[in-house]
This record gives sequence, structure tokens and C-alpha cells, in this order.
Amino acid sequence: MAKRWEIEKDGKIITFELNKGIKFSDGTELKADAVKFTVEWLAKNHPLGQETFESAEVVDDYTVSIKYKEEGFFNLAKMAEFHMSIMSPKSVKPEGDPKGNFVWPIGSGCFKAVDYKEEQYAIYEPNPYWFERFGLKPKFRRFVVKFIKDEDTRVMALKGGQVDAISDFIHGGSDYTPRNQLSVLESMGFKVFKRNIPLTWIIAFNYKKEPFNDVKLRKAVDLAINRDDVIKIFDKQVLPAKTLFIEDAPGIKEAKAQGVIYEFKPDEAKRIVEENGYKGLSVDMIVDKNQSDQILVAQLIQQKLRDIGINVKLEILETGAYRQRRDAGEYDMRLYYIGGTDRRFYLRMFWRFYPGQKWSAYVSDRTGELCKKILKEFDEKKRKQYLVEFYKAIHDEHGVVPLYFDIMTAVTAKNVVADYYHVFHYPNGIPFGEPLFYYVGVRA
Amino acid sequence: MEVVAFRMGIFRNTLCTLGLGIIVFIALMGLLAPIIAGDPYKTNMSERLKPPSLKHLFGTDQLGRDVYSRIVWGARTTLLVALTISIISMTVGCLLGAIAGYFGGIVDDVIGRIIDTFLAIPELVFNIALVGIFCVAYGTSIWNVILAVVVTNWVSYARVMRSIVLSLKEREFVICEKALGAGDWYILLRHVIPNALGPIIVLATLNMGNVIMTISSLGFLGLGVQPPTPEWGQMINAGKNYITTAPWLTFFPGLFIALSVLGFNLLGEGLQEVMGKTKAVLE
Repeated sequence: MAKRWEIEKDGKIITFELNKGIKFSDGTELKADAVKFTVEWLAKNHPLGQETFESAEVVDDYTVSIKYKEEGFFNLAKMAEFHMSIMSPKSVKPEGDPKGNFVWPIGSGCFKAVDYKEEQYAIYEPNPYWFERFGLKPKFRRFVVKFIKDEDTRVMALKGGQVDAISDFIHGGSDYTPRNQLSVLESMGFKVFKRNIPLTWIIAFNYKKEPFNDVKLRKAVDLAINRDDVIKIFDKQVLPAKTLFIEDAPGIKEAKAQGVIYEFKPDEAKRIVEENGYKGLSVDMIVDKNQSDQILVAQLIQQKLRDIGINVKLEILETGAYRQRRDAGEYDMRLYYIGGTDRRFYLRMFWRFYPGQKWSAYVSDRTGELCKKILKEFDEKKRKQYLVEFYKAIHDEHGVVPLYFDIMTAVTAKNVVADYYHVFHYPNGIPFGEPLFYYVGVRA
Repeated sequence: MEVVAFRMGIFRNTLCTLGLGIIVFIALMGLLAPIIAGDPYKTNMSERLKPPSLKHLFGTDQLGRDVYSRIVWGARTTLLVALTISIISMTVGCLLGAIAGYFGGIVDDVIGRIIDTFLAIPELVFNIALVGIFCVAYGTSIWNVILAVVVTNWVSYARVMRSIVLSLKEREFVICEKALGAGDWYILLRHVIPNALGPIIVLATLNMGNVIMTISSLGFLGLGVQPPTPEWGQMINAGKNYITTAPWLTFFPGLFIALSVLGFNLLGEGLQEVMGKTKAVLE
């Protein structure tokens, strides 16, 4: 959408020059006023917008200057977030009013929303202006997305032929096709499409409280986990996390070269437990009942820790009760995820590792400072250096225990003609971060 | 005389013997679990989802645990939980039913209406709601299931006890006791309740089957006993997605649920027959 951008005042102001000829699904052209409107609307109506934007100024028809609340690279990273999709001022009533009510999604992506009901369904048709812009002809007439919350019900809907494909609602921790089902589905003839993303499942500790405020105990847990066993739960459909993120993630290769690798050393783990008087220690681990994958992983972890002399009491809770316990800090360990799709990498880094965040995974003085530096730094090389230091710090402090790298998936029925390219690319060939229906700007 | 005739009757009755045989078999299985089965928690990721073989009689599950060991240990869980529920609900139900029947009047009205109210609520739905509430309020515990089932289960005992006591309190031996100056509670506890126990035992036996079904249903819905503790209903839940690729994960727990329910139902029905016959013989 943006042709180029200029950064002023360390990123407090970024001026974007827009590409010409981009049209909304209603045929009107996307110009600077739409960007200004979206920024102002988000600043009033969306938590992410509220904490990000100060104001926006139209410089000319195709140039818009956005003023941010804080300085830093993070502002730019956040613009890739789907919440920030530019919408037509006609999407709200009164038209173009930043305080207006959202009435209908009008975006500039390849799909046009024709009908939707929140938490039920959304129906899309091709956005003719998008296809025209790239000289393409749409190969579909209609695209219906059904909202099925429960993971088992979703798999059953595919098996029963009610839907042609199921895909992840890839926020990371919720609503995805159970990974332990992928092989079963494959063996039944369904097609499983996977893409690696920098999303990692971890053990998160209640590290401010005893007993996990002790780095030695965290280290013992870290060394006790055999990640190659963890992925067997998923028939090796996912990869073991021996680094914090997949190798494609920025700075991981460099950190790995410097020895930042998570290893399985049960004897050493056992020795640490015994030497520090933790033998027979009882801790609890909370698990969300609605995630069959995590229930299995938790049971395996329980066994692995039992092998080194730590008893884990599993508490498998309803989602509501789980969140309550999580937010109140009433747990010793839990399974959690860090990272996300590529575009969400830095946003999730903020949520999980920046000081003072509600849904954090681990923050120490050292990692917190590094996280601040990473999110501030515009220079890619320097940012990478900070990232390497950050990975090192988390590893030294055993802040989290990475378990496995999650993936993005789509599973299609036997009769669906699709290949990897179709599933993970826009019709114009640009790869995208997550399942297609996300990109139409429907806040359904 | 009565007891001897009754005992003879039990062993002569096919239903009784068969039912008792099944129950004794499952109870022994649970009792001898440490001897006849291995560690039900031991995972072995290189042996996951293996079909039944000599090494693993009932195959292995998603974490490579021996399904046979989990079934055997699961018998303990299921029977213990069912027994606890039955004992508590029988005690509560019988006492309330007896009080209602014996004292009559406003006491009977109040207890009677409470019973009616509970009877009007679909049992399993109520159980599900209660377990959910208890989980949020008290965290996960096996007592959530026990309490939730007891709350609905005592009603059947109370209802039967009340009607038995209604007829018993008009009998001569009660009137005699009253004439001799015995107190109400003495008569109730020493004479009325012991005389009503026959039908209650039959009811308890039949009820055990229902309770096992309820525990398993709650387990299947993920509301009962929580993993990794082996429990049959929960094992079916964990195995349901593998029904096409690893049917042994659901078949064996299902089989044992059916067997134990069948055992208690057969014994209950048999007891009913025997009691009828004993009464006829004595009369």
C-alpha cells in the first residue's frame, strides 16, 4: 500500500507515500484521507490504536503523516498488524467520523464482504478492483467462512463434509486445528498444508514467586524436557524447539552459532534438583481444557519432571477458570506461546517480554531492557544484534522453556483442488502471513 | 431363617450370580491393580498408539501408556468414586425420606416438594452445571464430581424410603413400640429404617450402574476425573479422535463401562427377584 516512508524524530512521526490506483471494494480510490480517517478511528475505538496513535495529517492526496505516541521502530512494525487495515471512511456512520459507529467493512483486499454475522459466518466475493489492478481474473464466485469455535466440532465439520477446509484462527494460543489430529486427518485422505511461522510453545513459569524464582530450578526443568519426544505427540508434524524461534526468525541463526541452544540433559537436571534440595517438590501446572494438544503436552511434561524428582499437579481448567488463575498469578507453571505470524513477531515480543505487560511470559531487568532496545531500533543490523543478546539472556536466565515450533495450517477435503501455493499466497503471488479470510478487514 | 433363605436364593438366581461375578471380577481387578498391572502413568513416546499385542494387551495410547494398566487402575477410580457417591446419597436420601415419611405433616410437605423439584430437573444437565460451578469455585478435584452427583442422586433414595416408611409406620410393631413409650427417633432408627433396608439395597445396586454411567459421561465430557488419572469415561474422550486409526483407545474403556453397569444391573434385578421369592416362601 505504501510506496515509501520517511522517519522523523526517531519514529515519532512517519510519513507514508501511498501507491496510486488502489481501490476500495466499493470502487472509490484509497487516498491519504482514508489513512487519516482509519488512524483517527482506531485511536478512538481500538485498544491498539489508542496506545499507538497520536494523530494523522494529510500532506497531499497520496501522502499522509502519522504522529505516534512513542518513538521507535515498533510503530512501523505495528502498521503490519491486521487491526491496522486501512478502511474506507464509508465503513462507519456518520461517514468519515472518527467517533462513528462501524457499520460495514470496506477494505482494499482481494475479497469483498457481502454478508456477515458476528461469531457465525462471513460471506465474501472477489473484489473486482483488486483483481483488475493486478490484471487477474478471479477463479471463485463466493467464499463462505463459518465460525466454529470448538476444535473438535471444526474437525467433525470437515470430516462430515459440511465444510471444504478448516484453518487456524492463528492468534497463537487458541482456536486452531489440533496438531495431534493432523496425522489422523492425513491418514483419512484429507490434505494438510503447513507453513512454519515464528510461533513457539513454551513452559512459562510464575517466576516472581517461589519456587520458580530460582533460576536453578528453572534450569532443571529446561534440561529435563526432551523436545524430540514432545513432537512425537504430533506425529512430528511440528518441529522441536531447540532455539527460541524457528531459524527464519531474525537473529536466531546468529544466536545458535553462539551456542544458544536448548538441550536435553536429564542427568544434569536430576543432579541440580537433588543438590538444591528440590527432590520431591510439588508444583502445579494449569492447562486450558479446550486445547487437547496442551493436555497431552502437559501430561508428558509431568512425566519428564517426575523422572527428575519433581511432582507436577495438573489442573485442567475451563477456559474461563484458566484465565482467571493465569491473570491472578495463581499457578507455578503453564503452557504458553510466544511469537506469532511474521507480521506479529514484534507485537507479541512487546506483549510477552516488555516490562509491565499483562500477558507477559518473562521479564527481567536484563531482558526487559533489551526488549525496549529491540523495539526502538530502526537499524536492522543493530536490531538483530540486540535480538541475539536477548535470546542469550533468556537462555542464561532460563526464563522460559521452549517446547515446539507451531505452524500455520489449513486442512482441506479430499476433493478440493489446492496446492501449497494456493493455500499460502494471494492470487497475485504475494505470500501472506495467515489464512486468507483475515485480510478482508472484516471485524467479524 | 429369612437370611438363610435369602442367601440361598442369591446363589440359585442366575442373574444374581452373573451380576455378582462381574462385580467381583472388576472389584478384584481394582484391588489387585498394583500386582496385575504396570504403571498407568508411565509414558513411552517410542511406543505410542501401538495396537494390542502380548506386550500391551489392550495396546498403547497417544503418550505410549499401557491401556491395559490404565483400565485396571481405572477400575479403582470408577468403583471408588461410584461407591462414595452411593454411600453418601444413600445416607442422606434415606434419612430425609424416612423423616418425611415418619413425621408427615409439614415436614413431609417441605421434603416432598424439595424431592419434586429435584425430580423436575434433568439430572445430567444439572450435574454438568454443578461440576462447572464447583470447578470455578474450588479448582479441579474429584470431590467436585462426587458432590455434583450426590446432589441429584439422593432424591431416588429419599422417594423410595419415604413410601416404605409410610407403610411401615402403620405396622403393628411400630404401634407396639409407641405404646411402650419409645421415642420417635428411637423407633425410626432402630425399627423403621432397618426394616426398610431390603428394597433400598436393591435400589442402591441398580443405582450403582447409573452412577457409573454418570461418572463416565462426565469424564467423557471432560468434566469428571482429570487426566492423567486413569478413568474410563475420560479415556474414551481422549481416544475419540483416534476412533478410526486406534479403536482400542475407545473400545476397551467402553467395554469395561458396559460390563460394570451390566454387572450392577443384573445383580439389582436378581436381588429384586430373590427378595420377592423369599417373601413368598416365608409367607
